[in-house]
Amino acid sequence: MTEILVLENVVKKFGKVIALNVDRLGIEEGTYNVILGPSGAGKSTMLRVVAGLDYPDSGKIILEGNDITNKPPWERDIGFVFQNYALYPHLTIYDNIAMPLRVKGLKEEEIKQKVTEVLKIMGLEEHINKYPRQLSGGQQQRVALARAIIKRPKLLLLDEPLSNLDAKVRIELRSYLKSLQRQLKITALHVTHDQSEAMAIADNLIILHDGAVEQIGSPKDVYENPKTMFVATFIGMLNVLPSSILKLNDGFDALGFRPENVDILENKEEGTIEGDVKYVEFQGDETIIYVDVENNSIRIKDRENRFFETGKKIYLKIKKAFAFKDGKVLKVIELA
Amino acid sequence: MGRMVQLSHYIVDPFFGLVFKNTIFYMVTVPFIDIALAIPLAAILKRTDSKVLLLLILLPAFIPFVTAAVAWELVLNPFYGPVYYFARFNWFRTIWMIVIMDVWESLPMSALFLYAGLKSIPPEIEEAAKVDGVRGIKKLMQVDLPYILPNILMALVLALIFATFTFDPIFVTQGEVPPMSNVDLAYYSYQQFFTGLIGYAAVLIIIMSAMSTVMSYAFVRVLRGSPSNRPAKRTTSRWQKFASRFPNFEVPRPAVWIATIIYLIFFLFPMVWIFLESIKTSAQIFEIPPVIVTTTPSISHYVSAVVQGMPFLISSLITAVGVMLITILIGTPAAFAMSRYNFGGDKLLIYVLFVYTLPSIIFMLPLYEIMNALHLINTFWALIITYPVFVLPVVIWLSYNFYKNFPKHIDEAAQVDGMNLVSAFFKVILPMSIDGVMIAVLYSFIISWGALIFPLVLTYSPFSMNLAAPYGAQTYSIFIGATLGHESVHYGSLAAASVISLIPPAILLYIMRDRLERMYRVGGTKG
Repeated sequence: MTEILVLENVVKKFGKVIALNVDRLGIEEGTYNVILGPSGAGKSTMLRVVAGLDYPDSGKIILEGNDITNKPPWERDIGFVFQNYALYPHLTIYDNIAMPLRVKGLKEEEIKQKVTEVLKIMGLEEHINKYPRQLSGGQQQRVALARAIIKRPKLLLLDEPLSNLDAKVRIELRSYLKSLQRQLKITALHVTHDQSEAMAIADNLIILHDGAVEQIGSPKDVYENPKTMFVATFIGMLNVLPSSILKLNDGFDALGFRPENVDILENKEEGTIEGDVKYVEFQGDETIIYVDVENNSIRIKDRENRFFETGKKIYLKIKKAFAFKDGKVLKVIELA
Repeated sequence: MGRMVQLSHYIVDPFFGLVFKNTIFYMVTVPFIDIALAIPLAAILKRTDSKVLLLLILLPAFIPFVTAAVAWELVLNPFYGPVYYFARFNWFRTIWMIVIMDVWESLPMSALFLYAGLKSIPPEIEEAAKVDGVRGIKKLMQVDLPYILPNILMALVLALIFATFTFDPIFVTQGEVPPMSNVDLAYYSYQQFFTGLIGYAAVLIIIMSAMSTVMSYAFVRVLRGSPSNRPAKRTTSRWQKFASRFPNFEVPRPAVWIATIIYLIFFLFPMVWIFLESIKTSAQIFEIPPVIVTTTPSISHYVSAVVQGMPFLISSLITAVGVMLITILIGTPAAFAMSRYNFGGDKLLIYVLFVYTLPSIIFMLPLYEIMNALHLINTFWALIITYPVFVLPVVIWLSYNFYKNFPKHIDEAAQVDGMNLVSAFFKVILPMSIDGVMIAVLYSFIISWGALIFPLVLTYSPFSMNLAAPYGAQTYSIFIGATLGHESVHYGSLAAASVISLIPPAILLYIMRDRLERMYRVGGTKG
């Protein structure tokens, strides 16, 4: 695998606020990369800096070995998909998709052939002479996608491409995005704040926090082996208990564990924690039990869908936990 | 029999052909020159993003049209005007002179419309264009112009209405140009009215009403029409193929500067000239070759423009303030009711827009008859009561747009607190509408200040300077356009009076500089 895109010491400030501060980030060719983080983490800034819509204050951006840091977007060989589609409202679907080709000065026949081909891939042939407003949100975003890939760019950049769509279309389109990326063997960089979207499509998750890359890895790896407390709490649900409750003196500040990594026992056993049931939320495939442990609120997922009266004493046996020190994960403790 | 006589007027009138031809000439030339010049100007305004430039360019649209016509008349005088040095040509023998004046007056508003359109292009569309690699001239042709097509059409229709019913410059140049050479329908109907051929004037007005109704219809269609839901007839537009041939680069900075300077010279030159003229001594004014900058500045012309003009100034101020109060008191509540409670429905709104686009010359006859019957001719009241006919639609439309974006819960809260609709409006809504009201105030003042046709028709002598028994109500625009312009060659006083007349609009324009963006949807290009 070769790295197609590298960011080196990239810093972008807005006034005095450091929006982005990346030491080094390499993106491997042909992979689907999702940039995930809370709002204000610098996700969109990172994408815009790669696209050339913003320029970094310092650092280097290298695409296929060429320094593109100061190049305008149109010299970067990228496709960009905007959150609100950004289709030209006064142009037909055909003319929208043809725009990048017309700029390149291609012959009209060639343009026609390429546009027709991409519309076929997208399943939009019948809409060729419609205007964007006459299409649904999902269709408009597919047109935007078609416009972004028609030049066969090296890099496909997607800025929250699904967040304006309703839930059902969002899920359909996200699997479509992934299969399209596979089919075209293109490298994708996709920004989202939606965790389940990120987990579903990413080959690599890039977790951003306060403008810096906190962790990179496959969704499974990031979920199971978070490096920091931020990542552990941001990806998936996490319960955190101070080490004092656990009577552990191994130099940890706190212990974090996922709601599914707990066994519920009705009787006290060695190594269990006592708690009071606050309430129970039945969700169908599982039940979430809210437990009070010395004034700490804990959530536990129970696959057996047991029911507990409020106030009932239960005993929790933690099977897998992260030991935190100064916000970092010191080690992963497996107890089961 | 009488009817036959009038009909024969219409048919055998030897001037009708010329008048009609002139009208068509203005109608065809002005709007297209206007838009052709407005597009680069709007692009420059967007590129430079300079508020000062915007203010300087908008000035012509806000000063009285009479003043503009006078200024150009002084500039284009082949003996005493500056054209002596670089364009010594008898401008008074060509009707292009009127076209220049029309374009000068209406171009700023057209440019403001287009500029507002360009500014409304969403940033992500701009970015999409960047990623697609379209820029500069090619982007203007392929992306920007199609995007602002509604704005272009609106500016075009307004310029069309403005040009078709040109009045002020023709009025001002009468006596200086060959008889009838530049007269159009609007001025001709006024002439007929003034010489007592009221029936024939009415015929001409009906013809003009029909013409302006067609144009108003086009205007309302552009403004209120919703986009079609049908797919395009062809998959790709011819315009896109055509526009994609334009060069894909930004116009270099020096070229933008040069173009900006040319526009600025065009817009500011007449104003600078009337100022230079106004401080010359009387002898210098008629020197050939003309004196550019006097070495012996004198304020004597200003003294006479103020002393002689005082009765006219008082009339103009009283009228403007009276009209302002009436239009605010009627216009803002009406606009509020229309936007919030859908008062009058779409019909009233469309009617307001219709009246908004009608040229004021059309109202000349009926209002004269009404004021005559009420014995109000030649009084302030005649002007204060009639001006709202053309001021109110503008104020209502401006305020309507303002209230469309006004938070809804406020008047509801006031009503829950026990106020009725009227007291809620005056106690809560109006004080919170300062922004919108200010724009309406300033607009109604500027329109009243520059009005010419109504005072010409409804007054015939200057104010008697006796408030106990007021009599006479000729306005300052008449002082400039007729008293000084037609009946004498006091170019010095004329220039000084013109400078005085553009001071209030200039001050108001400066005050409303930050609110300019909000009024883009409404043009002020109406005489």
